[in-house]
Amino acid sequence: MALRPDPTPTVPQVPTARLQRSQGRLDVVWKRRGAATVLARLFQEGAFKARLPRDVERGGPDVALINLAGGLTGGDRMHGCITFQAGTVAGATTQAAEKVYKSAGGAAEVVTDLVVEDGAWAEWLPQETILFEGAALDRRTTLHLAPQARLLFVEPLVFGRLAMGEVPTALRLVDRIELRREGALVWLDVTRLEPPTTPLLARPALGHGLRALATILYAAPDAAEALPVIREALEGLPLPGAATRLDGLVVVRFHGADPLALRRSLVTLLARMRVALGGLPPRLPRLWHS
Amino acid sequence: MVTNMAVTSMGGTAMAMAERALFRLMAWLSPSFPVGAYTYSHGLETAVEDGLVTDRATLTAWIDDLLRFGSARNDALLLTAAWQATCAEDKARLHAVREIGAALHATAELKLESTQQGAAFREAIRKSWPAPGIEHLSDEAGPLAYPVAVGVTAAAHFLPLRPVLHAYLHAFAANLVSAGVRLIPLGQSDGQRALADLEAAVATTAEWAEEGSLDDLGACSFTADLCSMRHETQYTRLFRS
Repeated sequence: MALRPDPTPTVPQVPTARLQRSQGRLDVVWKRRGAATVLARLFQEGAFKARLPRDVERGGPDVALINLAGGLTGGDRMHGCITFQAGTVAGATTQAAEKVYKSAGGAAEVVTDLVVEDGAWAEWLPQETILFEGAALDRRTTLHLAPQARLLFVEPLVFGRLAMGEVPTALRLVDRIELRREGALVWLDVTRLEPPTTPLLARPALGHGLRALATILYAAPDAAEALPVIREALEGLPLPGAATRLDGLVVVRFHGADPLALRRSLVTLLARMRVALGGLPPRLPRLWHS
Repeated sequence: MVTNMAVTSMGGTAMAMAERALFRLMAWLSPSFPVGAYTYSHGLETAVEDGLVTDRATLTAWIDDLLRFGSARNDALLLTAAWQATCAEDKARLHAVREIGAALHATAELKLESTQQGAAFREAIRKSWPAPGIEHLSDEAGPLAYPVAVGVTAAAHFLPLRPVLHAYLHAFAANLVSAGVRLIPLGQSDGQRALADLEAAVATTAEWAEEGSLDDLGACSFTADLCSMRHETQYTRLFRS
């Protein structure tokens, strides 16, 4: 498994003098057994836990990630690594929306490595990450793909507790997504948002009033054929989305003012993509509907 | 060293460094340098079509955002990193900068815009402005982002970084103003007023990027990126991006 990153912690230990913050580490490996995908390894440490919701109608098993601390704040460090071995069909989601609270100092660090081997169909379907006023999040996601791997990926982000009428003014976000195929960098995307949040998000070329956004990736050898299929799947959704294709990758983006419209759009799009591209049932993890 | 002979032949006195830098930057980053800049709108064509950019004020704001928070900000950091790696003759570092420059594109058309101009810039420099050091542009390290090509060339010609950043960002802004003048459309004097109003954003980003590193990469030009994606399927198009 040359693709697999070192599962040991990549972050230095927090100095003991500092306020005790939450840390967690999770390592999940899916393997193929006969025609089925089963768990080969589940390691969990600290606040990061996993459970295995059963839903036979999904077409493959899922792992649901849980942050026992109930949210993230400055100084927290979470590292998750999920490996989809050759020929597996599996997914990962989150138990709930991830809340990032106001930071008293520093950013919450979330490091995610997804390793997808040849012939695997991998899904990364976390629920929304909600940045509360004053939140600081530094997120690094690395996608390690084999040439014949397929990955369906989504990351929804919400700026502020909108249901409470919160106006975000001081969000700090660095969200780095790196896609590597056989180790070589294929795509790099870095979203960086600094205060003053609301005036920036109001500017036409920047947010144009957006409060919620999502990045959807379909990384696969058939990306070229998938682009028109995905464009068709974008039609008639509550939010208008747009798609583009780079090397072996289709990138879809949604922007909106309403997180609920975003979620509805994602549920429909991802279900359509599962059917059209994966030959799988049009079904998201049940947690998305609870 | 053809270029140095040209320099010393001018009346027998060497042209001052600053004047030589000014001359070369004005040549390389002028609209007549054959990179085809005028064929790219960076998604602006869709922004005009959608009514997001309608006049001089909205055009200026749009380009200002790209300079401070969008792809031009990342371009400036890539240019700095490429210039520094070339000055240091650090081939491994330059390879890493090239890889990042080729990967850091939000959309297919923004990648086309950057890498086609990067390749055209390299060809024009090779033919007309050779210097030891530009061979770093010619290995087979994949697509060459435009700011990386400019950074390497400037370092190979011993040009100081700050004016290179300034010239690059000016060219970025002037090209989009020109696209806006054609698309909206605006009069030439409105275009010049827009460019004058962008002077501060160019200066701020150039100054900031000179001290920056690739750890500072990042953008929040969400709408502009979406416009670039939607440009791919726009029915009538004058521009390639």
